[in-house]
Parts: sequence; C-alpha cells; structure tokens
Amino acid sequence: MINIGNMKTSIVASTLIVGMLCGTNSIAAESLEELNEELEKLKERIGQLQIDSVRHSEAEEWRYSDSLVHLSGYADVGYQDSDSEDGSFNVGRFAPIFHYQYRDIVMLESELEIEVGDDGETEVKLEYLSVDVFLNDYITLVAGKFLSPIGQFRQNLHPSWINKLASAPTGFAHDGAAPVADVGFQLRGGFPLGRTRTNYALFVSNGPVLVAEFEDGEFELDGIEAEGAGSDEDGEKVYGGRFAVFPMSSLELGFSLASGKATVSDIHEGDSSILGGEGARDYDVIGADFAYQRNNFYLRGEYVESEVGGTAFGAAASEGAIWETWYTQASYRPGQSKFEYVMRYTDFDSPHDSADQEQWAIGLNYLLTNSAIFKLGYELNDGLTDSEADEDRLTVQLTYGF
Amino acid sequence: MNTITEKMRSSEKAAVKLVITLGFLWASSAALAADFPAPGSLADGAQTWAENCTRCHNLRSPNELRDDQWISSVFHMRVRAGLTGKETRDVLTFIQAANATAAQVRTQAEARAEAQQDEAQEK
Ligand code: HEC
Repeated sequence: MINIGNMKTSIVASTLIVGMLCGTNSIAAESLEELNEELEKLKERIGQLQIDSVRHSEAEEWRYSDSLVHLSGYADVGYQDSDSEDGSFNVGRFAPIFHYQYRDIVMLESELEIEVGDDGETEVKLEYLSVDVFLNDYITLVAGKFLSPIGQFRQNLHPSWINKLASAPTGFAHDGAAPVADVGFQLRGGFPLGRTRTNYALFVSNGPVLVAEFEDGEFELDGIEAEGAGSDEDGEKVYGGRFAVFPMSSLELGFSLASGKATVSDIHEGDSSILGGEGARDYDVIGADFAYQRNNFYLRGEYVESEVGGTAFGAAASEGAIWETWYTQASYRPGQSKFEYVMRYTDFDSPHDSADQEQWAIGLNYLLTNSAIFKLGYELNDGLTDSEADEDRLTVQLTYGF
Repeated sequence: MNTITEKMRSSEKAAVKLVITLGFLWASSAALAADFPAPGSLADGAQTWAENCTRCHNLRSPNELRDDQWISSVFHMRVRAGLTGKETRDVLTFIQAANATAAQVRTQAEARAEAQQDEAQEK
C-alpha cells in the first residue's frame, strides 16, 4: 500500500530541497570543487538506494499481491462405545478448507472431507466447492456445490470444533430430514431493515436424489439423498432459501423453504437398472430455527420437515413420505472456565419405524483453546426395541479447528 | 557561468532523483497490509465483531491469524454469516488493529523481559 500522507510529505520535502539548491546559483567558483565531490557522493548514494529499492520491492511483492491463498479447516479423532458394539477408536475426519481470493471481487472456497471407514479404507468427499462473487455490499453470488442454506446446523454448526457434541442431531446427518448440500447457485448476504439486522440466502439447485426400497412385495421410498447431486434426473430444479432476522442482537430467528421436483434414481440394496420412466415427485422442505446467546450461555433449536409426494409412474411408483426432525440445545460455560456443559434433545420421525429416534444427549467439553476441544458425551437413545436407534452411546472426541 | 548552470542542472536532477527514491522507500516501508478491501470504521467494527463473531462458534482471537490471513477468513464469514460489505470492512479493520496492538504488547513484554534478564546478569 502506498501511504498517501507520506507521499505528500516527500513531495513537499523534494520541493524544498530543489528550491534550496536552485537558490545557490550564485555560488562562488572555489566551492565548485566541493560541490563536485558532494555530487559524486550523492550519485553513488542514489545508485545504492536504487539497488536497495528494487530489492525492497521484490521482497515486498509477495506480501502485497492482488490474490490471497489461505488454508484452514478442522480435524477430529475419537472413541465410541455403544450397547451392542465393542468400543473402538476412530479417526473421524480431516477436513481441509482452501481459500483463494482475488481482492474483494471473487473468492473460491472448497472443503474436502477425508475419512477412514470401518474397514480402514480412506474416503474422500468434496464437501463443498463454490466460486463466490461479491456483486455488491448486499449480494454475493455463490455458484457450485454448497452446504444447504436450509436451517442452521448444516451450514453453520456441523464442523466438529463448532458442534458442541460429537454427533449431529438425528435427522441432520446424512440421509435424514434436513438437506446436506446442493449443486446450483445461490444469492446470499444481509441488509439492515431499519435498525434490525437480517440475512438471507436464495438458491436454485438440481435438488436431491430419491432412493426406493423393495419391501413386502412393493416399492416404497427409502430416503432422500440431499447431498448435492451432480446431475438432475428430471431436469426440474429445486428453488428455496432462508431468511433470518435479529429482533435483538442476541436473538436470531430463521425461516427456510424449498420446493421443486425429485425423482427416484437408486434402489437401496437392489438393482437400479430396473428403474425406468420414474415420475418426478413433488419435493418440499420447511424449516424454522432460533439461536439465543447471553454471555457464555447458548440456547438454540431448529425444526425441519422434508416431504416427498407420490407418483403412479415408473417401476418404483409409490406413495409419498415425510421425514421430520427437531432439536433444542443448551450450553453453558461459566465465566472464563475451560469447561462447557451441553444438553440436547432431538426427536426424529421418518417413514421407517426402525429409524425413528428420540434422544437426550449430554456433554462435558474441555477447551484447550477456543477451537481445540476435548469432548465427552453420552446419548440416551430411544427407538424401536432392539434396533440400532435404541442403543445408548458413549462418545469421546478431540477436535481441532485451524 | 554555463558550466556552473549545467552543474546546477545536474545537481537539481540528482536531488530530485534522490528525493523521489527516498520518498518511495519511505512510502513503501510504511505499508502495513494489502490495499484491499477499503478501510472501514474501527468503532463499528468492534461492535459488529462483539455481536456476531461468537454467534456460531467460540471466539477466534485476532492474534490467531496474520492480517492477510484474516482477509480471507473474514470474507469467508461474510458469505457464511450474511454480513454486509460494510460490516465486513469494519470487522476486518477492527481485527487487524486489535492484533497489531496485541503484537505491540508482546514486543514490549519481550523487551521488558530482556531488560530484566540483562539486569539480573549484571548483578
Ligand atoms: C453464521 C455462523 C457464523 C458466524 C456468525 C461466524 N462464523 Fe466463523 N465460522 C463459521 C463456520 C461454519 C466455520 C467453519 C467453516 C467450515 O468448516 O466450512 C467458521 C470458521 C471460522 C474461522 C476458521 C477459519 C476459516 O476461515 O474457516 C475463523 C477464524 C472464523 N470463523 C472467524 C469468525 C469471525 C471473525 C466472525 C465474525 C465476523 C465469525 N467467524 C462469525 C460460522 C460462523
């Protein structure tokens, strides 16, 4: 950055010096020798300064470039023990985030999610990849694969250094009631309404992929895979968004909607090639969320419902279905204490009794730093008897957001 | 007289060159950070920071990152949290000032520690 104030001062200084030198025109001849000597010294000095200046600007150029490269992200490791399974350590995930930015015009943001599965295989997923164009102070265009702007959990709270418990609330993880990611574009930003702050996101996307299941001699809907499908089977887009207001600076209220079409393009544990002529079904999501904060006390919650309509067309024609979930979470960190206490209640309702779950989760966290956290948690799960959803779980996690 | 004027001319030129070079060095050594985005309001930035930066996650201290790294992080947050352009510039101005102050405090503390050490050695 060129410092304008200093530039001005140097111009004034140069004028003064030049003026002084001009005023010495009547100088006596005998001092010419001295003057010559002085001049030679000056020339030498200038030559050295010019060399220094080039070196200096070369050293500076990497610091003052128009583009920035920045790496951030998070990682977690842990241990889990449930009623029916022996406890095991897990590597959780390594999620590096890459940022490339050209001035305040455009930014690329991308997050990879690298996980080690139960069998030791490494899985790499592109969590999001978008090119964000800052159109003006109130609108940013976000194009590519982005975290679903429906509700708060997925876009704002899921990274393990942010989530105060080791697990996502039931229905907010993959293949639940709340969409995870979308491929398309969104316009998002915020603007003041009088003295009230607001923020918004509007999107158009391919929408989710539906999974069917063959059970008891007929097809039914198994799940919604809202993970950012790279193609749109039915060619019909999903439109949606979220709008949030702050009635006071410590309280955020958000409302989300999405609507469009989605089509069955996969069969759970079956041969997807038998699918043909599948009808595009109605797909509607509604959501509401709130977040309240007072000092180190946080109370937040959200509700999401995803509804898929029925169709009479196609090999997997079936009735529609509804997935619904909500949670409320309270957390408190007394004063500057390193300990934080968490409690969360979740109720997930799906078309499959075996997946339904009611959960109380409690947690005790130790903050090594504000983003390096040791989490101890216990989930009291209530689901269909003898189903996985009914098993209580102990979770230990060490997470680091960098 | 001609030679004198000539000499004067070249000395004028030399002086101008010298001053421009010095001015350039002076200006560039005073540079602190990238020249974008435009500076915002420090006071508004402090308020926006206090009201927003702990909404979703624990506070990330201004000392955690360098000024240039903060640019990308705060622009990332602008998109995530729906901040306006003004709020973004204000928060950045605040954070970049806050970590500079912290760095100064650290340097002063180090200098004090060094002085104490020297004193102890003398004894
Ligand atoms: C709407 C929620 C939200 C708000 C408000 C918010 N953050 Fe974040 N912040 C996030 C999320 C989510 C991440 C993690 C990003 C990811 O993993 O994709 C994050 C990550 C970060 C990081 C880690 C580096 C990076 O860029 O990923 C820093 C530093 C940070 N935030 C600082 C801030 C500051 C400063 C503010 C106030 C201007 C702020 N945050 C406000 C949600 C938020």
